[in-house]
Formats: sequence, C-alpha cells, structure tokens
Amino acid sequence: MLLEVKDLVKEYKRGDTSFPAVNNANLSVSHNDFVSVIGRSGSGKSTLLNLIAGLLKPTSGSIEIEGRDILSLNDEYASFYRNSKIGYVPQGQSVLANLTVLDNVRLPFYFFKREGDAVKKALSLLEQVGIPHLAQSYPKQLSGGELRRVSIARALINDPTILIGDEPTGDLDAQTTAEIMKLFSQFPSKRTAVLMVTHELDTVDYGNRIFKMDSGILAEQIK
Amino acid sequence: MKQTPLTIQQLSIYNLKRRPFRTACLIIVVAILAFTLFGSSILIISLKNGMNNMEQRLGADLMVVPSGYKSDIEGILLSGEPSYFYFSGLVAQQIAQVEGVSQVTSQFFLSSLSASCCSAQVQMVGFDPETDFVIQPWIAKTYGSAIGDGQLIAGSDIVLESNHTLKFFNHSYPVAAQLEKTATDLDSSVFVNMNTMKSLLIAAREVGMNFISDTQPEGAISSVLVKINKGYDAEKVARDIRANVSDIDVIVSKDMVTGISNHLDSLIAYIYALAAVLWILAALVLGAVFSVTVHERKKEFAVFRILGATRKKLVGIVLAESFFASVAGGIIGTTTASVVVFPFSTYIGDKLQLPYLEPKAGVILGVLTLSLLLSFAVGPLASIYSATKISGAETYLSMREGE
Repeated sequence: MLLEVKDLVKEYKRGDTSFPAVNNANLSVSHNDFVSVIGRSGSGKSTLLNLIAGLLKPTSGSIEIEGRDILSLNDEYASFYRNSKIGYVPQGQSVLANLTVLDNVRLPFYFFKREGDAVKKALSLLEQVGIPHLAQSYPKQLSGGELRRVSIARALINDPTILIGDEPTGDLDAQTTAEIMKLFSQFPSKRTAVLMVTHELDTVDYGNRIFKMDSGILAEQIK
Repeated sequence: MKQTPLTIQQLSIYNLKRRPFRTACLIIVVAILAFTLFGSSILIISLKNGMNNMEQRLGADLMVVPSGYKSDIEGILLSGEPSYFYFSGLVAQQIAQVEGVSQVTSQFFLSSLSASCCSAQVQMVGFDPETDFVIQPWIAKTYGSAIGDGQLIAGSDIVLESNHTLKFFNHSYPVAAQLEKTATDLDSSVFVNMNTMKSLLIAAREVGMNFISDTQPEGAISSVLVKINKGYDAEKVARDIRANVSDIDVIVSKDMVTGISNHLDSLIAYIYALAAVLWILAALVLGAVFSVTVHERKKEFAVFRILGATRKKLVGIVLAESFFASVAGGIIGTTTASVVVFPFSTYIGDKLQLPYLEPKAGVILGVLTLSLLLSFAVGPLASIYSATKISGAETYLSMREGE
C-alpha cells in the first residue's frame, strides 16, 4: 500500500471549545489509484490533505507512506519525504513570482542533493503539461490555467509516488478544468497515485475512487 | 540550456533583484551605518593620534612668550599659523633662576613671505642646539643627526623645490631632511639652528623685511621652553616665573593639552554615541523591514515548505537576503566614507581646529575590517527574529493567511 491513514484526528479550538476538522479518518491509497475527496467548503478536505502532506500535525492517528510513519520523522526527514515522495498542487496561485516558469519547476529538485539534469527534466515536464514555450516567462505573464500547469509540472519534478491536489481546478473555466483533469488522470497509469480534493462533482469522473467528507468524517462512496 | 543551480544564495539574489526598491532601501540603511562607523572611527583615531603627537611634540612643561602672544603660540602649535614676536634673550636667564626650573631653551620665530622671494609662507623655527631638548629629539627620529649651518629640516606639508632646496628671501637653502607627518606645527614649519636663523634674518633685511625693530634688543628670542624639576608643581613654577619676570605670558603645557583633550573627549563621546545610536537604529529599521516583508511573503515561504524546504532552509533564505543587502551596503558605505575622509583630511583637521593625524595603513585596514563586520552582521541579526518566526509557522495556516 502506498498511503495508509489510520484514525486520523485534527482538532481546532474556537474560543474555549474544540472541534474536529478531521474526525477519525481512515484511508488507503495504492500506486495506481486516483482518489477524489469531495465535500462542502469547511468539511475538512484541505485539512486532511495538509495532514497527509505533513504540513499540519494531527491531534492523533497515524499516516504511513510506503510503510513509513511520516509523523515520527524530524523536520529534515519529513521535508525530504515531502520533497521526494509527495507532489503537491496547492489551492489557488502558488507559483513563485520572482522566478521564471523553468526555475519554478526545477526549484524542488535542489532542496536536497540529487543526481541528474534538473533543467532537462523541467523542460520535459513543461512539454508534458503543454507549455514548453513559457519556460522563460514570469508568472505574471501567465493565465490561471497556465499557472496551474506550472504547479503540476513542479509537483512532478522529483518523480513523486503520490500527487496531491487541493482543488486544483477551483478557479478555472470548464475547458481548462477538463484539460487539467485529463492531465491528472494520466498519472496513476505511471504508478503515481493521485489524491485530490474538490467540490466540483464533474471532476470526480476522472478518478477511480471517491470519498466524501462531511463535518470531518471521511467515508468512501460507491462509484 | 545552461542554468545555475537554485541554491539558497541564488534564490536570495533573485529575490533581492526582483524587489529593487526594497533592496535599495535596505542597502542605503546599511550604507549609512557603515559610512558612520568607518568614517567616525577614522576621525576619532586621527584626532587621538594628533593629540598624542601634540603631547609628545610640546616636550616642555612650560612655554614663555612675550605678554599678549599667548594665542599666537597656541595658533602656531595647533594650526601652524605663521607668526613672529620677540622679547629679550635675558628672559631665558631670568627664568633659569626660578626655583623648580630644570632646563630652559630659547626659540626664535620667523615667517617667510608669500611672495616670489620665498618658496612658500612657512613658520621658521630657530633653536639652540646646545640647550634644545624639544626639537632635536624629534628631528633625530627622522634625520638622525644635528643640523648643520645653512641647512633646513622641513615639515611634511612643505613642498620642496625640485633640487631639494627651499628659497627664502632670495637665498636657496638645502633641505637636509623632511619629517614624517605629525599633525602639529611641525608639518608646516622649517627648522634651523640659530646660526642659520641669523643668516635668514640678514637675507630678510636685504629684501626689506625687518623682523626685529630697532627698539627690540640684540639677542632677541621668541619663546622660552621650560622643563621643571621632578616633584615641582607646574602651576606653582609658572606663578613664580610670572612673579619674577615682567611682560611675559606663561603657558602650562598640561593645561593646554587638557583643554584640547576635554574638547576632543566630548567630540569623541558625541561621535561614539552617534555611531551606537545609528547601529541600533539600523538594526531596528532592518528588523522592522524584514518583519513586514516576511509577513507579506508568508505564502511564498509556505510554498517553499510545501515543496519540501526544511525550516533551516527558510531561515537560510531570509538570512542570506539580509546578509547580501548588508554586504552591498557595507561596501558602499565604507567606500563612500573613504572617498570623503581621506582626500579631505587636511580640510577636516582645519575645520575642527584640532590636531588631526591619519592612522597608518594597518590601523585603517583593521578599522575597515571591523566596520565591515559590524555592517555585515547588522542585517542577519536584525532579520533573525523574522526568519525564525516564519520557519516555525504552520505551513497550511500561512498559506491560507497569505491568500
């Protein structure tokens, strides 16, 4: 199993009372899965993804990626894990304005020591996501759809085993949404699992499994 | 396609380049600090050097001049303003009789002219090699032997003729040696023994300059320098001299040095305070700028974390940015200070009306290194709080706050 989430709880405090944003969530993902998590705004979807990506600390529970408990890792190892095993496409615009498209894509390659040609790889990924001609452009010159493609290419630079998308088509038009989802749907066949949260029901058709999140409770839906 | 690896340093440089206004502001703040640190340190050391030199130069415990010429002798000593005044040579003998006086020596002042007869207008000091205890020890450091008749020793500021001579009252005199810079009257004075001084007086008379009027006695002198015996109070001996010799002014060297020293101390305290306030101010301004900037860039740093950057790397990026801005500011500030302080040292000394002697190259290098280190450190020190704060923030929350 690629990802194993067990009894995951994340509680937040609002005033004196605490409430669970994620309530005893259990989830297993294999290498060729495309998992869609749907739910209304505030249901805890993004919190779940951020917990899995190691960007938030859970109140309790466990998260294992390829059999390794990522919650027990120190910052150095957890960062390395996130950098090399997880490709994360955040919600909204997340491309760094100071860097060119090419530099944005190759950036995660340099966070840890690696062999290989980052530039060649980044250019190849830009080709895959359909924007090789924008390599030397700056983010402000790009459209929303193009920026999302840059985020996807960047998430793939270190050959992750799981691609996490936090509403990756949230602010895109229907045609661009379809193009992006088509792109996402290609990865499970290349043994990169996709875990994506969305509130757009149209996009769940691209996945093979659907989970619904409601008030922090995660439940698998029959497709 | 050739591209440089995106190291922390490279990312910091990109960030600085893409925010030219903010970067320029950071650099200017550090440059002002570096300018003040380096410039004021050189100024302080130069003033202290000048003061030390003057103390050594005075060499005598008391100086006796004709009544009413106290300010003239101070002017000669401090600013090298040429002057001349005379009283009877008998004064030296009278002073020697006063209790507590150990040694006396006379000096004779003459001023050359700012005219075609002379190379330059300078203060000429004649001394008696037999009794002198002030000029000769000083000259010996550079020249190593006594000055012969007809020879000159020139101060460092005096420009010599091409044949290593100086022309005074239409006569050329060979310059035996030129002294090192001292920041005192020595620099703009010419020293001769009394025999040479006599021939200079004759030459002056030939061009119509009668320095000594007919009413002034033969064997006239300009000042008597006095060394007192150990255990005697300079003030008391001065009082005794005033009581025994008429129409004179007695200057207690220590009082003069103390007066200048007090003036210098308050100036130095003011400069130190200014440098300290500026350093703190620069640290506060930079700290505030980095705090605001890092807050604005929360989302950017959250993206770095999402992509796998360690907390240490985030701290590194912020510190590297502040370090590079500090390095640029430090270099610009010290270079500007050098351009202002070194070429205008004479002007600064004149304006301050204090002895001013620039330190040697080794000291300048040491001050430069220290100023640069303090300037380079101010940025990283000021940004360390913001860097640590951002690295400790919850990525998910930073990402949401930044939206």
